[in-house]
Amino acid sequence: MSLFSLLFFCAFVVSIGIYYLIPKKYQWVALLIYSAGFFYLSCNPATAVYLVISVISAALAAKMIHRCKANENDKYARLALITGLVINLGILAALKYTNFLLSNLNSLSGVLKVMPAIPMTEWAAPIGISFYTMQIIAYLLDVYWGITEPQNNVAKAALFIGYWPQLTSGPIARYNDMKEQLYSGHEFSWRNVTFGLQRMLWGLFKKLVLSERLAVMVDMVYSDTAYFNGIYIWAAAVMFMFQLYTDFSGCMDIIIGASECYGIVLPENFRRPFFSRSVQEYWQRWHITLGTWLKDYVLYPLMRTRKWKKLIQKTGKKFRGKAAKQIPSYLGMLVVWLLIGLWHGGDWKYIIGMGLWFFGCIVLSKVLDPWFKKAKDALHINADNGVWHLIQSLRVLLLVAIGNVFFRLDSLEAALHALMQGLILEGHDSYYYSKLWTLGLNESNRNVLLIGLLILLTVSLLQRKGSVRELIARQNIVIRWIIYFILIFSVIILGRYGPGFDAQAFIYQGF
Amino acid sequence: MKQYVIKTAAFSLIFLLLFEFFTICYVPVYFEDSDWPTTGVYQAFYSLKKNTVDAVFLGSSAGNCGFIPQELYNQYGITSYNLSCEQQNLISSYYWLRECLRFQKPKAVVLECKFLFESDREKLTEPWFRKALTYMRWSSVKKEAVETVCDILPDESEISWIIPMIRFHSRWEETNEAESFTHYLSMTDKHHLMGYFPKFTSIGKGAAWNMQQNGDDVRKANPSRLELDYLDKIVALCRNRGMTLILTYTPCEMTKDKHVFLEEYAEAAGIPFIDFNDNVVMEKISYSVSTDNESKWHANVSGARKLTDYIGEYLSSGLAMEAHRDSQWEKTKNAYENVEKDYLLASEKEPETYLTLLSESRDRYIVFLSIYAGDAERMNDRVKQQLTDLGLNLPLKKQWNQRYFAVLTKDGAAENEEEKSGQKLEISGRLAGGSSYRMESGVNSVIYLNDKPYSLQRTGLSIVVYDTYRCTVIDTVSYDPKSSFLLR
Repeated sequence: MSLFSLLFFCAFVVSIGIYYLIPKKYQWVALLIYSAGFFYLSCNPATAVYLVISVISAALAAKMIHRCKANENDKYARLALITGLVINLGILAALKYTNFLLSNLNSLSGVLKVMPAIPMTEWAAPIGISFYTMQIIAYLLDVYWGITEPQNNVAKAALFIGYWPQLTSGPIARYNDMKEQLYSGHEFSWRNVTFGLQRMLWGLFKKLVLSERLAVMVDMVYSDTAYFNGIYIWAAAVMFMFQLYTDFSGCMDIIIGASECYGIVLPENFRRPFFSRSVQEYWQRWHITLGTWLKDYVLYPLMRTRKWKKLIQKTGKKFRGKAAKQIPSYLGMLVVWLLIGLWHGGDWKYIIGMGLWFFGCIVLSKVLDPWFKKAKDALHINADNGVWHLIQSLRVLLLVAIGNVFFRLDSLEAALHALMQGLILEGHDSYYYSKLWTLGLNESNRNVLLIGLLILLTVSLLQRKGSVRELIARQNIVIRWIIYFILIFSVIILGRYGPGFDAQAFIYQGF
Repeated sequence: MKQYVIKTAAFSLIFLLLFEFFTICYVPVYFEDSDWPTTGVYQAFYSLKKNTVDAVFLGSSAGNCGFIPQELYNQYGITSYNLSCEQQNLISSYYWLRECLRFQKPKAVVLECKFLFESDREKLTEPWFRKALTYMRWSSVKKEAVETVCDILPDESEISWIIPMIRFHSRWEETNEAESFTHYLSMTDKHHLMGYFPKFTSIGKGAAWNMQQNGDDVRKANPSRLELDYLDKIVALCRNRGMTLILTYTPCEMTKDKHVFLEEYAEAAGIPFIDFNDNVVMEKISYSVSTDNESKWHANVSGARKLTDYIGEYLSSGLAMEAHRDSQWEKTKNAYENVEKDYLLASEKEPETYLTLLSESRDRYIVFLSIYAGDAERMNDRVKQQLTDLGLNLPLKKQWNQRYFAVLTKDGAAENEEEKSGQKLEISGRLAGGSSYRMESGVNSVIYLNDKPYSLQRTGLSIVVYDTYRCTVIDTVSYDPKSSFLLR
């Protein structure tokens, strides 16, 4: 079920009504039923079997871990943990990465001519498998580390794992943050509901008014990278960066807003990433829950292992000074970035574009940092200067845009070809360049897009000072309602949906 | 809690009002000023009193301009309504018949069958279904109609029929909201011809066809299977409700294979079939394609009168339908009389008579005129006098080649003329009802109405006649003083 369909909206409004009409202690049951319904309507219902296996295995493993820990039997606790992790990661790997493995095997065997090509699988994955699997892993590790108690009620554990707003695209929540909110019930709050609806509306605006228009421009260039080159490639790269942001953050706004209506606060996934001064900062502001998850459940545990500590000792002997500390740190980062790439999909384009490219940018910036500092001092550049901030942000945008070319195009080869095309700056007439300002959109749609992006920028700037919804709430009712109606009818009238448009699913919905 | 309920109710009310406003602005409407006034036809149908209609006409545009309910009433005392519309296929006809039966109990149904052969899968497109069915009120009939459309067109969604804004919201690009809303308000409930839409012009000499010489291979007729299924449904529905179904085919490029197919179908179903393309029928009603057809598909007012009279004769003699009076059809007599006058004007070729007719109905018209000063001087005295009587001061003594414009309303004439030869003159304005006009001088002057050029751009006097009631241009002529006839 699409989050911007009328069916969803009607079902959601009904769900809110029922949720607040039933006793608080049964509200979690209502949420579980909604989640089951959402799952049924959003993907192949047969894939529910994977979700059920994940829920039962996670619930049992967590219980076993806790019981073994209570009996101070760490060996069996570890065994239960590993079993839980293997089952869940196994399902994820089988459904999402088998074809990646097979395609690499086939390529290898094609070169070596050792065996015939193995056909690809067509296994359907349940919606949100990457997101809920990460939640399960975090939950099991938290129980193992004693950070949280396990949930003894399997149905309640199922709600945490399959809570419907998160099934679409996350955010990846922690059990400790969610348990009270999910199970204890909530009194009706006018503020929660109105604020939640406002946020959903803002998400719809980003998706249907902005992202769908940007998609037209991006698709036009990327559908024919043999024809388009030079400035067009870079324009499309920048447009796709904004498309991805408005799409993903718009989806998050709908999800978080919907959850807020139930009184359940989900973690934020974005914090104005385009204001970042470095690629590292960008990733601390973009898909935040993925970054913190990898840091807490991969990087830090990895660095706490004995083998890693030995590695640090070894590098300390071989290298001197900063390098001795930095090399193990970079190796840890490499693991994290490889996982980020792999998490986006079983394809080399993700591993290179979303993983190694950003890893390279961050390591290079750290290595070159002393020289940059010297250069800044020599040129008397004030790091707090607004213009310098802008230049840094533009640099980040360019690097991110390049990485996203790999995300958008179909293959590693296509992405590399497009980037090479971007370096060609000649061979076209003025008609070719005249299309740059519209890229498949007509003038009025382009103007809508420009105004929309300006509104987005304004809201982002206001968000630096605090909540925009709070700011609106402080206005008198006339101003407030004018703002609401403008936004509502902007979405209804200017949104690209319905017959004649092909409003695409959220980009991160496939993960 | 009470304040939240009030706030929610107030917010919802404002939302619904705004939503309705934008729906009116963006969902296309077709009134008397359109090529086919589908919206107006169906709006007016719903305003009829229940169970007052004796006969209904269904079918495509050929039926819409082919049968005149008012003529049927005036001549035979039979009350009827024309539910045909542009590109109405038999699927839409079937559902309109069912919709009609919710409100009326007609004894006869006259079905124009052109679409049986016209609409293959490629022609059963969304726009035509939308035009035919959008203005049907919501009921179980419309729900079923929409489900059928969605079955035929897999890309269609039912929800976009329930909430048309889903389909039409993107029209913001081409719509001026204020103008659309004003237009809707000014044109709504203006249809007074009981579903009929008049066509005024004639196809002209040389336009004739002979069905007997076309399509000798009778096996060639290839009606759409889907449409045929719905024809069967219409036949069954009429039989079940005790209504007489009459199949017709109005004058057009009919072929023998279609004629034979329909004849055999009607015979098998035990229903009458009137083919107006049949030479015998044509001769009987003195139908001349060149003067009675507006195009090769549509009859004009004169042709429609002949077709309707034939049907009227059939209904009153063949089916023994009794004449009776009904205040609704009495009220619309005047509107039809005006159509007859408009037709007389639009078919008149002699300038003096034309100006007399124009003068007689000038309270209903706005007349746009343009002329070269030199041409005005060369007109005969009778025409000059008639133009002066209309309140015009033609530039009879001005310099050769100078251009003169006038907009003639019932209140008088607004005149403009070039100060000197060669200086471009442009005047524009807005008419009651929201239509705009613009007149531009040049080598040949052009008269635009709603940005559409109307004048014939010939030398001499150019006249564009605009009907203020139906807000549409009913005639465009030019009069060259060298000639004694008007040109169209």
